[in-house]
Amino acid sequence: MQKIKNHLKKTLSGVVADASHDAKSMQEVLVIKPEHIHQVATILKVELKFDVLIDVFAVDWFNKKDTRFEVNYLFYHTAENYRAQIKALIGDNAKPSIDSIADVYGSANWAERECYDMFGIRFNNHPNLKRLLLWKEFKGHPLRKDYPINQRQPIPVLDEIL
Amino acid sequence: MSKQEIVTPSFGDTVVTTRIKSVLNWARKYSLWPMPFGTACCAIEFMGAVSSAFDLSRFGAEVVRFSPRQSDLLMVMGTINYKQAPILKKIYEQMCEPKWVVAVGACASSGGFYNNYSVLQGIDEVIPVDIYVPGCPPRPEQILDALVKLQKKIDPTAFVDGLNNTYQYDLK
Ligand code: SF4
Repeated sequence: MQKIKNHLKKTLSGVVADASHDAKSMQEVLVIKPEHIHQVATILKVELKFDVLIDVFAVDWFNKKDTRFEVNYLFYHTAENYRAQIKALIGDNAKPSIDSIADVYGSANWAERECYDMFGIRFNNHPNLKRLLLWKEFKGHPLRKDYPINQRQPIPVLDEIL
Repeated sequence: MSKQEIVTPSFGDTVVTTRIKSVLNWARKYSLWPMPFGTACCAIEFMGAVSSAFDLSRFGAEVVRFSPRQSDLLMVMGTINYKQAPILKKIYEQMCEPKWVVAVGACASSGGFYNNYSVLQGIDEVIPVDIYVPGCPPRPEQILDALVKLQKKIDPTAFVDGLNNTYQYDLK
């Protein structure tokens, strides 16, 4: 585990802005710029052999002026039982976007769609960036802090598949 | 001279005169076949209401069916979210006339405390409701009470033409 920890620090030293260790969840927390995410994911997968992408989710820091949205990636190394959390701080508050890593980790496909669904973060080069959980007539992104709590939506029609 | 008096002398008490719609509704109200549409915690309360401690069958609604085609009382118990709404509507449409709907619990009646982006604010946005049962969850007695109220409501209704007549009835 120590070996992979050092390896992680060494290989990613160029792109990591801030690194810390979260003792409670036993994972490395690495903060990066959004433009490096594809590169970081590729390194984690190919060089460091992190084989599982557990989740992709976002946080809306509504009161932060410059970086309102933060996209988090949880990676897991099954052989070493080792976890890494990558945080990408997105600068553009009006149109948040980040590169998709669905071509590196297959599970990112749906996770990024959910993230887009709830927070409206666009994942560039995503193969199928549609809403995952909400229906297509839904307007807005409900987990954003400025989504009004009592805003109602059009009632969906039954899909043909049913 | 009323009809009753004409018949009585020759047949004794072996004949009862009535109207066909009264007999139909009398039969209907004491043989409701409920279809439980249970999506959340309120459905657990329904399990209490149908099992031996409370026993819905004492009121003639014993035969719980899980197919809308075989039932005439749709009991919606639980939180209905927007994505569920068209499914609920389809289930309702599949039921044969005459049919009745009971909204059990705060969620089905009004959305309950889920005042948010995903939950339908009461099933009456998509289907007509006959009886609303308050509570989160309601006691099984309340579900029984809803059934009795529904029976009162069915009583004067005639379904001769397959259309539910509008009428007023006393809740007391
Ligand atoms: S009304 Fe209360 S008990 Fe019933 S489904 Fe809603 S939250 Fe659950």
